[in-house]
Amino acid sequence: MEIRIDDRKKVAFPRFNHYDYAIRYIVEQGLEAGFVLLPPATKETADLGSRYSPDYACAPFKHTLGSLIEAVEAGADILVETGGLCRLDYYGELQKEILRELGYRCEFINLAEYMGGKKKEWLRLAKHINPKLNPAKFVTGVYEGVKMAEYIDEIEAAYFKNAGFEAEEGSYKKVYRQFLLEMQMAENKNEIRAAYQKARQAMSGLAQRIPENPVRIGVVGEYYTVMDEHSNQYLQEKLIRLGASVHRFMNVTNCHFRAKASTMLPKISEYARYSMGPTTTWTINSALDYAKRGFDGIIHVKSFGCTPELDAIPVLQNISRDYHIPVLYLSYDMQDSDTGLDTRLEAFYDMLERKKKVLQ
Amino acid sequence: MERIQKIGIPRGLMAYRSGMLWKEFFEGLGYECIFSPESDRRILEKGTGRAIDETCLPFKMYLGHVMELIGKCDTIFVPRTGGYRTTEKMCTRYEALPDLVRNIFRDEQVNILTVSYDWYNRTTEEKVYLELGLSLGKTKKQVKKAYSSAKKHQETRQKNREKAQLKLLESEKTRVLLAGHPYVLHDAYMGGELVRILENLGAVALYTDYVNRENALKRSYEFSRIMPWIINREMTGATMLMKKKVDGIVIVSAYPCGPDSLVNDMLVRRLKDVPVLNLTLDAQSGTAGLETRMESFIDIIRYQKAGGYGNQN
Repeated sequence: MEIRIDDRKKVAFPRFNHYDYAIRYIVEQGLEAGFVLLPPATKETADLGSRYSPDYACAPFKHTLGSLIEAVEAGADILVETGGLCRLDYYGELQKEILRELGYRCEFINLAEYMGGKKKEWLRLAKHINPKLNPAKFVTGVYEGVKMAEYIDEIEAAYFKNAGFEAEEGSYKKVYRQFLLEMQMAENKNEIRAAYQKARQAMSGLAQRIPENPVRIGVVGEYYTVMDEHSNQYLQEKLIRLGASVHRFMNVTNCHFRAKASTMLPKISEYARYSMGPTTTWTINSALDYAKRGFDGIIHVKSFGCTPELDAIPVLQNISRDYHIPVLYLSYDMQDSDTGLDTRLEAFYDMLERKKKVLQ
Repeated sequence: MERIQKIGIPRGLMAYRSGMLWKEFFEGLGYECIFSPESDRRILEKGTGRAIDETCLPFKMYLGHVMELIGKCDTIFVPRTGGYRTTEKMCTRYEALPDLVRNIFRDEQVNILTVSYDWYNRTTEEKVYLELGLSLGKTKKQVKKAYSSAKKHQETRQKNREKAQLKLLESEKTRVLLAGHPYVLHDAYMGGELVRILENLGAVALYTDYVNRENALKRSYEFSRIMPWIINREMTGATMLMKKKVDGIVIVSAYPCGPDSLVNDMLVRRLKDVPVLNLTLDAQSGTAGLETRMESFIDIIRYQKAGGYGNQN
C-alpha cells in the first residue's frame, strides 16, 4: 500500500454563505492547496467571535473572527481575511492581532494589503501558498470558481423567488440542497455545469400554486449580513415559509461582475448625487427598482452600526414615502434567539398581504 | 447659480479641522460667512430628533447645527470629503454627507453648497478648492488668491497651537493626552466637558490634533501600514509620539464610531507602558459618571507617580 502524505498547506477563509464552495474550488483546483471547509456556523461560532471582539465592532467582524478561530482549531495553516471599502479594510489587521494574543501561531494573510495592487503581487502571494503553482491552472481554477459562484447565485435566486409558491412542500428545497451538495464536491467544470443544469431543469419542472394575493418582497442591505444566511438568521428562508416570493439583487455576481456603481448612480440621481458609500448605491438602486416594479415590500438588512448602510436609511425612507412601499428595517448584532425576528416578519407579511387585499 | 451672499457653516464634524479655512476662503471670495453657535444640549436634541437612532453622536450634533442655520443664510456648506489617498480616507459618512443632509431635510428644501472629492479621484486640496470657487462663478485668479491666503493662515494657526502645546508639556501639573477626533475633543458639549473636569482636578489637557500633523501621519505608518482613515492615523500617530511625554492617555470616542471601534481596540493593545482610559461618550444628560471615571484615573496616575504600584519599568 502506498502512503500518501498530504504536504499541501491548508488554507481557510471566514465563512461566507455558500460561496465557501466556490472559494474551496479555487483553492483546491486553482491553487492546488488544501482547504478547510468549515461546517455550518453555530451559536458557538458567534459566541467565540463576540467574546474576543471589541464591543461595538460590527457583527460581520465577530462572525468572521469566530470562523477564523474555528478554522485554526480545525487545523488550518494559513488564514485569509479580505479587505473592503469600509471598516472591512481594517478587519484583517485587528483579527491578526487578536489571534496572536490568543496564542495561535498560524500564518495570516490580509488581502487588504494586496487590494488595488499589481497582478504580480497577487501571483507572488499565490506562489507563496503553493510553491509548485501552475499559473495556467490557477487562472482556469479562478475562472471556474467564479463561474460556480455565478451558478450558485442563479439557483439561489430562483429558489427564493419560487419556493414560496411551491405546490408540494419541500420540493424546491430538495433540489436546492442537492445542488449545493454537488457544488461542495465538484472537482471540474463539467461537474459544476452538469449539476447546475440539472438543478435548473428540476426547478423549472416543479408545480406551483400561486396564491390569490402573492406577496413579493425585495431584500436589500449590507454586503455580508444580507448574503450570509447565518448572520441574518435565515431571513429569506423565513419569508418563503410565510409564502412570499423573495428577491435580492445584492449577490456576488451582481456586485462584482455585472452591475457597476457608476452606471447605477444616474438612475438614483433623484435621491443621491454622489456615491454614498461602498454598497449604499446598490441598496438605493435596488430599493428604487423594487418600488418602481410594484413590489409589495422591502426589507433592509444591516449589522448594527454599519455606517454606509445607516446612511442609506434616510433615502429609503424618502423612497418609501414617494412610492408608498413599506420598508422593514432590520439591524443585526449577535442574537441568541430569533423569536423576535419571526414576530416582526409575520406582522410585516400579514400587513403586506392585507394591504394588497384591501387595495384590489 | 442664484445670488448667494451669506454662507452658513455648521459647527460640527470637519468644521473643527478646516472650518476656519473654509470661512477665510469664502470671505476671501467676498461672501459673508457665519458659523452656527457652540454645541449645547438643545442643539443635540434637535439633531437627534431628525437622525436615525443608531448614527453616531457627532453626526446627530451636526444635524442640529444644520438646523440652526436653516433660514439664517442663503446656502449651507456641506462638503463631500472622501479623502485624498487610499490609506488616508475619511469614514464613509463623509462621502454621504451632502446627500444625507439633502434627504433628511427634503421637506425644508435646504440649499446646499457642496464640493466633492474622493480618494480614487487623485486630486489635491488646491484643485478641490479651485473647483469649489469656480462653481461659485469666481475667476481662477480670485480663487487661487483666496485659497492660498486662507491656507497660510490655517498653517500659522496650527503652528501656534503646536507651540502652545509644547509649552504645556513642561507643566508641573498632571498632563493628560486626550486622543480622539477633533470634532469630539473640541466640541463644547462633548470634549468640552472633559476638559472642564480635568482642569477641576488640577490636570492639563493636551490634544492629539495639536501635534504636528505631518509627523503624526508619518509615525502612524509604523503603527499600521493599511489603516484606511486619516483622522485615526493622525490620532494614533500623535498618541505614539506623545506617549512617553505625558502622564496618562484618555482615548475619547463618540458612540458608535465605526473606525474607532476597531482602531481604539488596537491602540489599547499597543499601549502597554502608560496609563490608558478608554472613554466612550454617549448622549447622556449628566456628567457625574464621567467625573467619577476621570477622578479615579487621575488618582491612579498620581498614586503610580508617587511610587504606589512599585517601579514597573
